[in-house]
Amino acid sequence: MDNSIKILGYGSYIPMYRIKREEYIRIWGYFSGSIEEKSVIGYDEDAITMAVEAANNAIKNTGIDKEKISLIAVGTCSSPYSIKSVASEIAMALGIPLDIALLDFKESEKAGSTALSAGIDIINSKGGYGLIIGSDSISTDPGENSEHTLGAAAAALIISKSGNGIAEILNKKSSNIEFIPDRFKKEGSKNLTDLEIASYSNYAYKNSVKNAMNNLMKESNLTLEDIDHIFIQGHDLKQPSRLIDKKYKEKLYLDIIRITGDCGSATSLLGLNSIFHYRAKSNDKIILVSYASGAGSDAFYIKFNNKQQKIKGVLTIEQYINRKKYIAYEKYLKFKELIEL
Amino acid sequence: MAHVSIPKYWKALPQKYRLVAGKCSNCGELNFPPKTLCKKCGSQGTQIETALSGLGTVYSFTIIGRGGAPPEFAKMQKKCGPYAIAIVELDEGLKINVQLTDCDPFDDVKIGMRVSAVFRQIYEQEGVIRYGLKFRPYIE
Repeated sequence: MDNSIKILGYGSYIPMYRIKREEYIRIWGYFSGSIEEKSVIGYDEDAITMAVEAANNAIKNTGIDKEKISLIAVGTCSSPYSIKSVASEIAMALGIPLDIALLDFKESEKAGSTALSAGIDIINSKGGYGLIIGSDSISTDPGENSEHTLGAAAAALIISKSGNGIAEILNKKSSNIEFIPDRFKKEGSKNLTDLEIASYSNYAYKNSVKNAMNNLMKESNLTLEDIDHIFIQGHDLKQPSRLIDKKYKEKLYLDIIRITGDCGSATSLLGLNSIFHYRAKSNDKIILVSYASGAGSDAFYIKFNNKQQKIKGVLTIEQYINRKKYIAYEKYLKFKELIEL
Repeated sequence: MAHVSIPKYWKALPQKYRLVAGKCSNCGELNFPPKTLCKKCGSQGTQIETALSGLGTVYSFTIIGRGGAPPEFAKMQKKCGPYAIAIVELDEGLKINVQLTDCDPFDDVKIGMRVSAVFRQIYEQEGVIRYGLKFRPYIE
């Protein structure tokens, strides 16, 4: 990376509905995944509405004039449309002038970090303010193991070359080791397929994440000793935990996943937001790594400067976590349209 | 089903997506949606686009039970059951008619409660999702 990029502010969104692992056990007799509960999209929500709220929060928290935004890059695997821009709908909802760059990424479950990576390069070369969003509520057939951990959330960042950033992105690296995907969604299908080849899946995960992370640290002259916080995207808590040596376990901060589950393209940015909110102190060093089957990993090296100020009426990630209503499995099926209505 | 064509819906997008009102440059009255003639002083072509804050108070409400909803809301109602609609008095003084969301219509909704606008799916027509604003309990 030629120049560092500032993160001027961030915003999150988590729907209010939750389903507990016990509720799955009541219906299916077991729960597949190491999380406690997950967030569930509301009956009138989708990836676009979640993205709009996270983006609105990020803009208000940053305090920039939205007219100045020159780029919207959004990553999602659960857009209600397969042909139609998500970024353009977000721009209309926010009232941002339409002569700006609008980028949609839907290539994999790490589309949120792909959006961030592309956004960094564009803002670095063209300047201006970039609004980066990850938003997802992925579905698959009830009864699939992968379905158990699929949650819902959105997260957004405002990035720029200049200004007083709450944090700074100092470097980024991607890993594109070739693996045939074992988790994908075919064109025309509503649901995700996970072949559940556990050993292969873990092997691909470990290699992609480690490769991106090691290359990033090597190029930035870092060791895990120097890092204060790590977030690695995964489908639950176990997957990322396996990759980090016991010695450095306390640096891995995955608490948000315990509550929301696997939020697909939103996971990496939401994880970063949770570190900013709960953990980070001035000058802390953060490593953020995404992963998606058949796509690889993006790793980012971020230095934290100072806490974002709380704006009245703009909900923080903590307020979204506390605002919750548990629902029964039957209601969950209706909200996610997993049964025919 | 009440048919609202795409061009008609599109013309009202600033109001539906962002609560854009028309402020009369002659008398200062807020018109929502913006009108050609100011509803107070009657002057023509004087309205300046002004975004409302999206904060307000429940002035009155009712609950729409199964069968009471217009057909375009039938699918949503299958998912959510009874839902509340309210007259919300915005902080700018205007009253608007909206759906409430993220709350239990029977237990949570009270006259006088503070609410804020939120971007949601309203209904689907001609295969196009019609988005707009609903209101939900305000959290500071």
